[in-house]
Amino acid sequence: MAEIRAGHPAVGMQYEDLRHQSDTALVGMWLFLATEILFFGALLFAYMVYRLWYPAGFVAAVRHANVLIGTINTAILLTSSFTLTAGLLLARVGDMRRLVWACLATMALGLAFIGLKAVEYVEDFHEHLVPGAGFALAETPGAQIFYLFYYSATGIHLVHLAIGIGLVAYIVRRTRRGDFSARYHTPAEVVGLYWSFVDIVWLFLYPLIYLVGRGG
Amino acid sequence: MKALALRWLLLLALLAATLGLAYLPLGPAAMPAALIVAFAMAAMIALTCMRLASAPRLAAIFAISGLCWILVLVTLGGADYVTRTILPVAGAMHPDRDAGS
Amino acid sequence: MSAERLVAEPVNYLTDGWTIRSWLLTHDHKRIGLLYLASITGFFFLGGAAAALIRFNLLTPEGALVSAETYNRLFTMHGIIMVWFFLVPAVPVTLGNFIVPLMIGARDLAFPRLNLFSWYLFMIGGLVALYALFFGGVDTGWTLYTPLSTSYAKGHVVAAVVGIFISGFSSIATGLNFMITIHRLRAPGMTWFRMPLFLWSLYATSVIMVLATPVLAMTLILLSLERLFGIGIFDPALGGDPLLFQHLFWFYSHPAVYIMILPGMGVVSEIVTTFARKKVFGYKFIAWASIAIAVIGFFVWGHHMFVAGQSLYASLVFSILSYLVAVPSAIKVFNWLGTLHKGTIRFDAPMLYALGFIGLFTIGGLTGLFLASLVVDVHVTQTYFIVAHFHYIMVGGMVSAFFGGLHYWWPKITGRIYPEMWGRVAAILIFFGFNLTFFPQFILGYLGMPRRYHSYAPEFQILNILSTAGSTILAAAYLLPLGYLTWSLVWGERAPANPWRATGLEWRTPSPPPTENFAEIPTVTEEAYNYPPPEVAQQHG
Repeated sequence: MAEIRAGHPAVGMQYEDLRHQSDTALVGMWLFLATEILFFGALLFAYMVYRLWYPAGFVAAVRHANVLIGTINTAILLTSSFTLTAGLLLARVGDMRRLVWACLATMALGLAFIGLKAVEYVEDFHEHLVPGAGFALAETPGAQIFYLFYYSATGIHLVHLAIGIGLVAYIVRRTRRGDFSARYHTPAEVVGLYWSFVDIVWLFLYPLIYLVGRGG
Repeated sequence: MKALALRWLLLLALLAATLGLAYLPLGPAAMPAALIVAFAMAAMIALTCMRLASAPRLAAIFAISGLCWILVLVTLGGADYVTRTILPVAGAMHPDRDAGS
Repeated sequence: MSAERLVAEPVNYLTDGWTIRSWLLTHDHKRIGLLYLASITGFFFLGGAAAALIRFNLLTPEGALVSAETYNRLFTMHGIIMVWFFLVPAVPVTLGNFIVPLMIGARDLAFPRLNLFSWYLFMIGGLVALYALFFGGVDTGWTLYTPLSTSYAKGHVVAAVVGIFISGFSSIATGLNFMITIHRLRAPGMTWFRMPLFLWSLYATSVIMVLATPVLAMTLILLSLERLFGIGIFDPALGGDPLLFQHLFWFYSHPAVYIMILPGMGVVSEIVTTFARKKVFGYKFIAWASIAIAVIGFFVWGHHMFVAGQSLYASLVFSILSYLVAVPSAIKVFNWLGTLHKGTIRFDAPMLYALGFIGLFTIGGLTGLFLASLVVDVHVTQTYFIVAHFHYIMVGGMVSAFFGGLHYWWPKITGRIYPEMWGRVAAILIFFGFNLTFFPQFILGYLGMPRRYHSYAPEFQILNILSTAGSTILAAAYLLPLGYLTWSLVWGERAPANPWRATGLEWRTPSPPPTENFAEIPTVTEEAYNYPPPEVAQQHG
């Protein structure tokens, strides 16, 4: 079978060459992200339905959200997408050392996001903004449902982000091991797509959780 | 690299814009306004960080079909919600819910 | 001759490594297909055993065998296992996994490791679901409707949901792999409109798997949260909307019906042309009909909610759209008939299964039109008419097609010929057993016997006994292939590369194929189904 695997050692036997394989991997990630659109889309649809049913409860709940932390976190996540993109730009010209630095910066920003999110959760907990017994907004119909969305949406997003940090760490390890070059660093590109998508998801959660309804 | 930094600043500006918009008394227009900004920011990320334009054409097709399909859920599912007659539920916790139509 | 072949026999995918490790960690799509085949066979007989108990219980009006509680658990077990662990994966992960790369002239799927991973997800999901169903049980029915499932049901609803959730990702991974493979790995000259129709139908199936399953995943998360924490998303008593659950659930589960039938249609297209020895009639119509079914299938889910309290206007729209989806299905049936017309037909076992599929699918499809109509649906909803309708499509249609495809590609998969006579007997028995089981249920439903009750009014007994009698024939007929196909693994005659003298790239490589599928990647120069194939005489192997 050795004669079948022509070219770069990373090329699978079902591919013609490296280019064929890496384009396929990118397209595969895009298709996975399309499934993620449907995944989060279903949640946002449910959110919209209940926002229609309980406008007052949702507005009251939005006004209790910590807009300062939310906004800082949005800025952090946006920045992290750009640090990773910068790293990939450098990788394409063969600067693998700085790809590692960009990845580490991206991971640090991701961890900062998670840290701030944890602070926010603790605060919510102290303000009794947790659905169930003793819920602070129990008198406002619909506020409970808002908070259920708040926790499930941000929670699922956090899981995605944590997976993203793990993937970037994997890229760091493989880059250090010398697996990647300007010609072949497809896994890094694929992870970059995923990371930016997680960022995009947050761009939709941010206004729905922290913003819309504040102006009256 | 410079272009990248400019795009980053532009996105931060959009973030500031959507934050500011939220405090304006837009009424029912607040949601569409916020969503339009969100879509604009998402499109910028897709084009800049994810290089959608220079990716294989298939990538864009997949991304757009994902959006179209969620639109199917929103349109046909939403058609039910905007035309449904909601009857009060016996023993409901919130009988006074502000049912919209 | 045979001794000479023994010496010269090249290594094929089955002989390429004998350790358990070489199977459990394989990246070879053919071996993964066989892993899946073993798994879903197990699930099929488990789900079938539950069905047998259900039928035996319905021998007498007061319920002959089990209590109402056990009965509820039985039909839930039957539904969950059969839908998510047999019908949805059945053809794609076994035959599809095996045949897709061979058919398009590729050495493997685009993402072999993802393929193996999907099998592990499937097994983990399946075992979790089995744990829930056997230790504790679930009594909600496979539809898991809220608030029954979230507030009132006893048993392991959350565990079952976790199992379904995990296996859903296996489904997404498979669909993604097929779509990308078909887009990117076609052999030189294999244009879209030269692809065998099986690939078109699997592509359409994959589109549904990829775009519908994530919505189910999210729905199940919300369902679990409501059940675990008692916060109302779907429970009206807590301020939620149970119809929202149904919208989200059927947004997946109606298209999932097409996940369960489209691959069967693809198999039938292959078999009908091969055994009619004639070019398929209206190739492009069948190809586009697959895509149309996949797309329109997403617009019709509301017909499951006609009596649930959905807006009447929405019901009206969904009803009209449901009629539309019948058009591409009818196109396919007419094209198969057109292919048979003036063909040189051979009635081998695969063909018998395929003909059975056409007949049973047509009945199932036409009764679907009754149900798409608002007024009729109000009368027969929640009766055995529904049960009969979808079993005609899924069991009569899809299971027949699965067996047809399994027989058709068995020589390619195993390198052995199955006993033809037994194959024909089983196919005929399945057809008659099936009709005897499910036709009485149409009548029962029309007369008003509700589904999902463990007892019924005494006047329905005769038809129920007929149905149970049919199910014993059906059970025996399903056990037959298990016996003779296993027998053929050891004692079956060795298969040549192209035993059916069929077209298609999968027949141009030895049976069983080598690990890398093709010694040299073939180049395609003609359309599919160019019967009779030019190189009939030169049989390799």
